[in-house]
Amino acid sequence: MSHPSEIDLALIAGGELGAWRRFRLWRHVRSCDPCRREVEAFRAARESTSEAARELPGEVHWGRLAAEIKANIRLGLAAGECVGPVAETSIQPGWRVAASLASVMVLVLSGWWLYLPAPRILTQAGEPGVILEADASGIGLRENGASMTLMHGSPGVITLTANVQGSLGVRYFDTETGQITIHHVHAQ
Amino acid sequence: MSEATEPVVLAAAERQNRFISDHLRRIFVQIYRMVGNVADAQDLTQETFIKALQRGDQLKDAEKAAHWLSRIATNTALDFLRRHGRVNFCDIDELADPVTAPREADPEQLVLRSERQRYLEDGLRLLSERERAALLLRDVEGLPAEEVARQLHCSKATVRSHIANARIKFRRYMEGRKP
Repeated sequence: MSHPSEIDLALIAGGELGAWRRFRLWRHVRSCDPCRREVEAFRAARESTSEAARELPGEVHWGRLAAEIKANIRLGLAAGECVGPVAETSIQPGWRVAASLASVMVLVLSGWWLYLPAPRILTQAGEPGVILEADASGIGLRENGASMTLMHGSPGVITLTANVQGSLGVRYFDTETGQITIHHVHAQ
Repeated sequence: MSEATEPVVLAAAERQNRFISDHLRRIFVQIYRMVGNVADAQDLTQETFIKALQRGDQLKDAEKAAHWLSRIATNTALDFLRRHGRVNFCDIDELADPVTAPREADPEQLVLRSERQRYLEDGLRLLSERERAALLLRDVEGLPAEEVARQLHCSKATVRSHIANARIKFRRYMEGRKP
């Protein structure tokens, strides 16, 4: 039998060959000094590599490094728990589509409503002669030719409410500052 | 938290801590040998354990958990190398302060150890990423060739080829440069 290849000898040293092939090659290696020396050299190299590779790198202070790694792992797990439930929430695809469509509809309707010309609301209070009124500039009341108006502070999202008891309310939201202002006018 | 669930949560936390302590050094060294850099190895070790512990159901069987953790570490390190290119072994002098050895360590031992490490690292640098991974998993971790093939997502024949090439290159390197 000719000498096994270097690849085969390297694999014999680690026991990676199949049973039949290993048996055939071993028969040769046992009786061939150069091949046996090759296998022994591969084994020695394997052992010394393995031993050196298990050591910690250079001058690492393992105690401190391990403590740091453990702390970071705990931090990472805690952070994962915060976001985990949101990520794992399972919503049926149909619901997702419906929720998305509903959001788009709300957005479109809000836009449409905001671009409508501001309605002029006239509320006749219980007492004749007192008129509550609202327009794009503000809300107020008028009586016997005298009037008082509360002006809207800034353009923004405005919600207007009228009450049959004789009151008007307006809430507006300043998009720049995030401030919400509420005005109420009551007729008595 | 109710009184009934508290012991369960504490037991789970204790199991996690034990799992980390049992495998931390081995996984760190395995990753370090693949990426060749302490800072990167630290980050990747953390990433490996976080990935593993987020799937706590896999930790019940200790032996399977060890292989599974090793697989995550290999994939994490190989992904890192794919993203960042070749392995970059840094000099010991470049190590940041938090990981440097205590002053009381024997200076002679430290010099010998760092010589051995430098010698090993120079040899590992000669191997391709997959040869290095195959050699480390087989000869250092002691995993069977089938498991190495699973971890590297390739056939057993390919793994044998990587291992044989790595051993041949390493042996030639050792013959050319005795420490």
